[in-house]
Amino acid sequence: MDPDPKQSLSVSDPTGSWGSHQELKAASAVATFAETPPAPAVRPALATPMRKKAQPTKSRIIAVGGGKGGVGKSLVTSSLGISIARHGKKVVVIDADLGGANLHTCLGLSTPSLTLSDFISRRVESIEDVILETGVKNLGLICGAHDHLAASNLKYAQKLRLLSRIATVDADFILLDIGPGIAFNIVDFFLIAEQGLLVVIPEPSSIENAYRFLKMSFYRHLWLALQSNPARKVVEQAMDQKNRDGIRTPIDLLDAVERRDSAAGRYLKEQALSFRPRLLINQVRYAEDERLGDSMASVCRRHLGIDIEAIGTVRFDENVRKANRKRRPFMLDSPESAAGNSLELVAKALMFGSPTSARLE
Amino acid sequence: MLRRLSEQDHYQVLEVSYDASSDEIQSAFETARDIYSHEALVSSSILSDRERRRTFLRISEAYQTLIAEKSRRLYNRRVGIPGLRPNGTSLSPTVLNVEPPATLADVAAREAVVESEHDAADDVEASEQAPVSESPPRECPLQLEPAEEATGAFLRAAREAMGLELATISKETKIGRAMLEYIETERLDRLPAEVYLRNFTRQFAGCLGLDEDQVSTTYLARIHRLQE
Repeated sequence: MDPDPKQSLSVSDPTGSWGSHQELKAASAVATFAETPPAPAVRPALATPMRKKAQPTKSRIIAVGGGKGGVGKSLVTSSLGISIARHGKKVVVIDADLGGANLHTCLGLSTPSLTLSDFISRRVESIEDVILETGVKNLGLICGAHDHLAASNLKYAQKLRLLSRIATVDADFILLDIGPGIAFNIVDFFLIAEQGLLVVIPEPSSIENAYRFLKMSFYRHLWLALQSNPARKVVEQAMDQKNRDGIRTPIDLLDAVERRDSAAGRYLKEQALSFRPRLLINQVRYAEDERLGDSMASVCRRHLGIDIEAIGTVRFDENVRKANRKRRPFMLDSPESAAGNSLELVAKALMFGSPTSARLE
Repeated sequence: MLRRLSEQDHYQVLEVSYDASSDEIQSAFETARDIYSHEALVSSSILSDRERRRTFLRISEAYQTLIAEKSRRLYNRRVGIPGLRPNGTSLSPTVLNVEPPATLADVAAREAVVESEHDAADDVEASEQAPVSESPPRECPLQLEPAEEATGAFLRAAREAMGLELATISKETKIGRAMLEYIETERLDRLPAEVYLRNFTRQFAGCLGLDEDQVSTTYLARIHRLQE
């Protein structure tokens, strides 16, 4: 499962500016390499939200990713947002699919007046200024920056500012709709969340991309955790699938780091435990696919060393398409449908931290 | 941190708890069979066919041992499964967090014995009754250089340099004599799963007064390479 050539990460930059260079390179073909490497003082800012120490608010940040487009991330994000808001919790959904934003459509809203790009380009000062009303009580929306040239090619400093401000949004739950791909600009949004959800549909390309996304975000998670530790080099090498050290899985990587520096290895193994995304299988049509989430989780545990579990499955449901055509939010249109019921279960599992997976019987 | 498949015990491999019923074991096996079957989407995009076969073989081995009550009991006793100690208390730990058994020497002995025609049954009995005796520290005239790899030939040379018979090593380590010979001759078709081999080579090295870590790590890496 070699990454897409366009996004493959070569790791040969000896200048130490690897972080920002590679991120931009991976983010887009028109990356601006003129950008200066991040000053060491800036680095922790990115890592902070992940470490859950300096959490500015009590918000629970939930990211909805999947590595692939068209698997229903926006539908899932908007539906979970509506569902949780209807339980009386204050929710803000954020369209972090920079460049391909359409979360507002799933909420039945037309092209928004204020978007993230107004915040990114500093036309407004506070991220709270771009929160829009959705017509659903307790539910706010921050639209994606689809009109902004720089949005999908976010610069490192801009990304840091955005990531750190997202964590300050005043809400009980913040749901992030993450774009497709495994670029760092994508993965970093996934990693600031305390809970990552990976939306997968029962198709080979989606499954393959989900594994790829998991692996890359896990490596990135470890890389960020290491901060200035020289063992970062090992992680960087691991991200190149064809690395010389024969590191093919995260387990190999953790062993390789431990061989190099046993303290760093122990620390990293601890950090590895905090990476616990959950799988949400969407568009399930056949009974045999009901178990896909559990099976994928099992493969991840056995072969990637990533401790992951399935949170639930969402049935394929024609009502989704119908609601979409009517430009009505699905969860308002047919909450009692098969998919609606499954999504409600997932929302509850997220709100109440249910350890068991939500599965529609 | 999760463990490699090769370092997991049979329960961990099947992802069942130590007090799993035979129904649970059966169902875990069937799930695994579905996951690693040839056309399964869930594993084909991340594992090579070879990896899938190997994984499934490992899982089958675990299943076959645990599904039959007798072999499961023997396995539990030999490996020292924490949930089923003689005091009868039955834990059901989250499988993932459980430390692997402290020593696999007994399993090692048994496995080795199965393959040889050696009078190993006695060894196994002995190992059940008496704790493994500490072997006196030895100084081997042959030592590995810092980055040197331990080959089977090296182990044989080291052993012969100390004037030790295979039978002596076998007695001290409770590893079957045939297995020791397989290690020395690098019989890829006969060597056991990595988890056992790691333990065998460590004990073998310890018996010869060699650096256990270096011997087992480099020997395993070598075997792994030879198998590729």
